[in-house]
Amino acid sequence: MTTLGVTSMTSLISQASSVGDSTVDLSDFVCQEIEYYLSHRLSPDIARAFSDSAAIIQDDDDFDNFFPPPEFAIPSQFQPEARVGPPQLSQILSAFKLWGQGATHEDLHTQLKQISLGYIEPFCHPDKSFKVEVETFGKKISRNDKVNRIEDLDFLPLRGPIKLKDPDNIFHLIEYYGLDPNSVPDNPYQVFFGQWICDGQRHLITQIALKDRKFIGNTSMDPKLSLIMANMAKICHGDLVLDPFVGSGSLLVAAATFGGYVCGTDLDFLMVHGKAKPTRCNQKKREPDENIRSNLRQYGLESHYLDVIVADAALPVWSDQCMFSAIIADPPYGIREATERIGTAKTYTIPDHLVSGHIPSKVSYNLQDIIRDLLNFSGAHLQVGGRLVYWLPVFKNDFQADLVPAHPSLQLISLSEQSLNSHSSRYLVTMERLPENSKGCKENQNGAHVPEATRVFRDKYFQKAVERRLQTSYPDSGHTHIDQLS
Amino acid sequence: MKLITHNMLTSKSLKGVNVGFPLKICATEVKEVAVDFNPEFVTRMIPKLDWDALCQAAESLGCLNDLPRSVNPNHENDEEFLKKAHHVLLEVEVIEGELVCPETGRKFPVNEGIPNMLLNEDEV
Repeated sequence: MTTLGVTSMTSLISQASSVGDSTVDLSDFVCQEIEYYLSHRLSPDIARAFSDSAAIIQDDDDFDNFFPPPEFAIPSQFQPEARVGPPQLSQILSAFKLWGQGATHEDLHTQLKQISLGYIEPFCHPDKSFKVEVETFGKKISRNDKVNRIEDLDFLPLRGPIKLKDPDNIFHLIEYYGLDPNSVPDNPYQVFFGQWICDGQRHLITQIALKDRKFIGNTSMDPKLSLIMANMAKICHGDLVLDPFVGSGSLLVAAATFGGYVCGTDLDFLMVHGKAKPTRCNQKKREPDENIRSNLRQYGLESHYLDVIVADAALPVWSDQCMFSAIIADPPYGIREATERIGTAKTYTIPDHLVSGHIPSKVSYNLQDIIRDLLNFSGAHLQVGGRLVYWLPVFKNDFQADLVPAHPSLQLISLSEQSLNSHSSRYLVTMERLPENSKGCKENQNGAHVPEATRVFRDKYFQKAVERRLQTSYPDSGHTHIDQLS
Repeated sequence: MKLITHNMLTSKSLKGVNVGFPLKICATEVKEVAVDFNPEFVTRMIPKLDWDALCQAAESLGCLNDLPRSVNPNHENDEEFLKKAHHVLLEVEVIEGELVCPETGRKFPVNEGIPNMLLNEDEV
């Protein structure tokens, strides 16, 4: 399990520094990430895309002072022969097999000269055409400089012909000049040299942009995040995927993009039927064909659409033998979407003549119960090795990594924080279904444990909002007003 | 609603219902839509299905055609069989109608192809 939080940062820094100092292990990888998104940039998961056994080194904002590159090294058992990476790498620009890195070009050259010939021989063969590309991050350099940089690498024993179009091997020299555009150094902070392995699928993000999507709702998930979720859920071609809080189906779009066959349920009849109040500015009413299915059709994925069902997540409708390859969910937190389930506080029976067309009344469905039901459901309906990926909103001060909801049949794989505002965050939680025979499994199907903090999240969130409003209105008096309020 | 979904749906959320499967289909409108054939997906789904329930459902909609009543043990390599299964699972859709709980007779409407499995508040 890789749990990453502030606490683990120190050890990561030391790990990373040791890589920076010592000679680079040839099994290291470098990935260029597109940009900062989640706090720790999901690097462990990108690494996992290469190899489940990968140990991770990653950097963080604080960490930039020590080790600035946006790239990170992934010591892994990934085989360099595998040129084509997994298709899910939507958050990676490209991945390279790292041959060497250094603080200066001289360091890099020294390292490259020490590479064992046995290792690089297959790429240096006279039959293997190649090209070298120079990339700079944070600064532009002239074409002449680029050519000079390549000439400096003349000592490499690459004996094959140079071929700019479609060569057998592509090598990249990457210079990193930091992230601050106002103080660009003369010399790069770090220099990398590596063999190009694959490009990520960055285009997917624009391909499924919300801007052009037919049907969206108030809380449609950002395409990048939904692709990350589908990635974390390891969705592959032919998987059966469920979103129990489907809404406008944005997670299903990402899941289907990766080849999953998707279905979803939602309590909101109008949403599932594509008749809810429009979300887009100036749109008076929904188009007749605005729905989840038309979203998939828009991206040529209609064949991957199974069904959406109006159903209450608190009362699952799926048969016992129905097993999903992945369950992805963005449950309502009670902030922008109401947390509801069917129910009533009173006891009565609806008379027969009123049953037809009756709209069931709803009661509040606490976030703690939502997550507990989601975990219990996933424990029972995920196939072994299948993943549950969902967002857990937390109040920052309350959150500790050991307070993550747990279930005896589900193993926590990772946690990624996305900060929402000064007091709250949401964590992308990934869990994996354990094999049947593992300890605690089966006899404890409803054994989900969800910490109390989840129950009070909504109240605290709004209390904080009230506090802040009061502080803005009465900056001097501060907390006295809040005491009066509560 | 496709028959693959019907094969996974139950009414067990109703009070006093344990299995609630298979739901009886009373369809007033059924449509056939072409879906790209993916033998891998169909092969992966077959062991997860209740084949008898699928045959019953297909028969009640009059689209069983010549789909075998039992799964051929070598179905992975039998493309003809997989294509028939694909058609019944993914290409037949109930657009309007009702799903009926086999134990209580409670009806769940299907409108515009979307089943409404919501219970009323006095049923939960």
